[in-house]
Amino acid sequence: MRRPGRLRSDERGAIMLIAVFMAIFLVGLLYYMIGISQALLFREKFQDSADAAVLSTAIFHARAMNLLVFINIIMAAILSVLVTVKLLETLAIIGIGIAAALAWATFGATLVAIPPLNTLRTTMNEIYTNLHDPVFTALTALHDAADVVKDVTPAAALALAEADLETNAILPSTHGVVFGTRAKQDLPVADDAFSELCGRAGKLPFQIASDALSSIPPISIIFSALEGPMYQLTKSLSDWFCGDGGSSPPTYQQQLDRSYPRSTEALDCEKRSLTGTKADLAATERVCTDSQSEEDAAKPDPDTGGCRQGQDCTLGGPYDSHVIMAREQCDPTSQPSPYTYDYQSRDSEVQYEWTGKLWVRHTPVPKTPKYSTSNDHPPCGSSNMHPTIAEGYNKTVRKHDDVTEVIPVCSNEEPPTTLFGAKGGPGTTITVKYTEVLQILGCKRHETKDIDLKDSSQVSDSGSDKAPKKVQEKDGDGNAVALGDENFQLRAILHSDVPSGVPEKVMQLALWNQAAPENPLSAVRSLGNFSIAEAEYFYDGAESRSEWMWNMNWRARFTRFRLPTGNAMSQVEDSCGAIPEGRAFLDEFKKFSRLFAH
Amino acid sequence: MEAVVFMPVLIIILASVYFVRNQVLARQAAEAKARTCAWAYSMQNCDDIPVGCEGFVHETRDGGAVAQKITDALSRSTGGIIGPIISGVLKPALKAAFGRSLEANTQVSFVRPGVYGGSTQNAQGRYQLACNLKRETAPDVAKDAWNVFTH
Repeated sequence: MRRPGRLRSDERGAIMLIAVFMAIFLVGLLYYMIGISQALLFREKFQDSADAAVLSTAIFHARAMNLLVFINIIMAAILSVLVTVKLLETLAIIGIGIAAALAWATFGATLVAIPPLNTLRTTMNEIYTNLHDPVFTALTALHDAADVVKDVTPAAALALAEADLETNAILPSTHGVVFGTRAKQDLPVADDAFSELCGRAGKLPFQIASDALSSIPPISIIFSALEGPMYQLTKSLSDWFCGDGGSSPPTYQQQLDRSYPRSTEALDCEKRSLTGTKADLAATERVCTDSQSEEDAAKPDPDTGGCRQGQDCTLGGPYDSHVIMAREQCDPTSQPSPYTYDYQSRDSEVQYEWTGKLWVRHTPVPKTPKYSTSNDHPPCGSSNMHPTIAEGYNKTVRKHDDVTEVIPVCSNEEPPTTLFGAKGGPGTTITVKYTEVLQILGCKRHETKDIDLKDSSQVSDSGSDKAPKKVQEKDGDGNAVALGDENFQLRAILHSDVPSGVPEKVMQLALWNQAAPENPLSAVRSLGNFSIAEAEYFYDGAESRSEWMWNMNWRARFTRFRLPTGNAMSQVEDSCGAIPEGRAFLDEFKKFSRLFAH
Repeated sequence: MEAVVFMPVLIIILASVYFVRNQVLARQAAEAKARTCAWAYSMQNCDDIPVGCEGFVHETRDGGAVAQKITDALSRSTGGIIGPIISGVLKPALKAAFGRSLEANTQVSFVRPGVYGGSTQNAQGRYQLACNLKRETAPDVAKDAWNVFTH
């Protein structure tokens, strides 16, 4: 048996003693390391949860914005059917106007186009009337659907995110809120003007045609070039094209060179073509055909400008009526002044004989009349009009019921002066050459014609319940809405009891129950129980604001977490109040928010 | 004699430290991989699987609840004959818009020390996210709409 004195001097097992302490220390260190690892992994997962929740919510908001864009485009596509029909009707009306205006210049040839154009116009009008109600009902339903998406999506997305947070929580103690700071939980969009939808509907067919025909560059370029003008035209005339109602009936101001004279039948044909209904189609066609026949019969000889052989050249016949109307309607003093004249002129010679007292005019020797044209100045008129033939304008064709009697419109004949004749003595003759305008055959005027596009069958509507959506100009508080501002921000705040007790226990063990020194960062310890994240949805493009709701370019992205100011802060406080220690966290966070490099 | 006793203890402790280190690193790597793949896949609208993430990410339909809430609200608000038609037309679009989410599941292997039996173990990472959106032109929209109604 070993004595006690030898035990002290016995060095065997000394290493074991140290080894035991070392083993305890190493086990403690291992325990500490496991605790830190757990905390690290938990923190990472904790932050991932906040990031994923807030980004998913922002993505849902972006998707909702894109869905609203999609609904806008569908509305424009549906409305474009009406606009296209109306566009065809409009082109038919303009075509009728032009055909009627050029009737005399083409001697009635353009009148042939009026009946088929009128058929097209009335057919399109009928299609428009039949389509109007179903299209507008669909637009109203889509508008309501857009309102639902606008109001329901944010709340649904936030609720889903919070439910996911609870379901997928790492620890049972995890609670979280995901929130936006808009006073009303909806998307920052508002109703746009219905005329905007109409403009887009006018542009869409050309846009699609341009894209579809991109393999044929010239045609694609033409369609592409027409997009802008069509947008402006249909937007400014949305009352006409889309029937959304307006303060005044729309009119189309047509600049044209209008030919005269215009007979009563021609005017009746034009009026009926522009305003008549499908029921009047046959009567309109009859009037236009009669007018065309009369124009054809009145066509003058292309060489002489007189009545053609074989035509009715009697008094009151087509040619006679034509020249009488032409002389009346082409008066150079009328407004707007005619600028191009077709007329019948004739060169003549006449001998004057001096009797000693006066000049006696003999019978003129006329040459063959000819068909003439004057482009810049009238052949006859006052001196300030610089007439090409002579001054004066005689509006009377004849004084008696004799078809052969023609009083010239003007003549440049100048009888010899008395002084000249006196030199030669009595019997002296002199030949005077002159030109006279026998008939005015037609003229043209630059006219601005208002084609009234108002249609009694059109259904007017205010359009407010069919409007597309646009990004709000101002929010509920009257502040301007801009990308990147509070209206587009979403935040997530998660709370959990982070497992930090293990290292603390180890540290307490190492201190042998002595009082722990004050931790200079103890104040931020509570922040470790929270995880924060912020994301926003935004329009990813360089287009102007008016394009934001017409392109599906809304996306979501993370942003640096920051606290808002103003009224939005109260929303943050309310949301933080919904989780344990949320208010205390917010107070602490405000103190250290500048230190956070989230 | 002490060395005979203590050395195995030290070896076990050091092996444990090594094991814990490997496990934590593997779990962090797995989580990081899941996070990276999820974000990259999401940013591509869940259309193209990013390089290196093959087999880790797949699309899910977790967001359908939002679509369902909107569809229900639509059914309540739009009455008449047109209401059900609009709901019917928009329902697939809503599902397509809000139902697209993704899940990333990753595995990273780490070596178990020989004293614990050797072999390799797997650490797993998991990340769920909604599919983000990409810029779309008018023809893309038309194509997507066509796909929505035909599938």
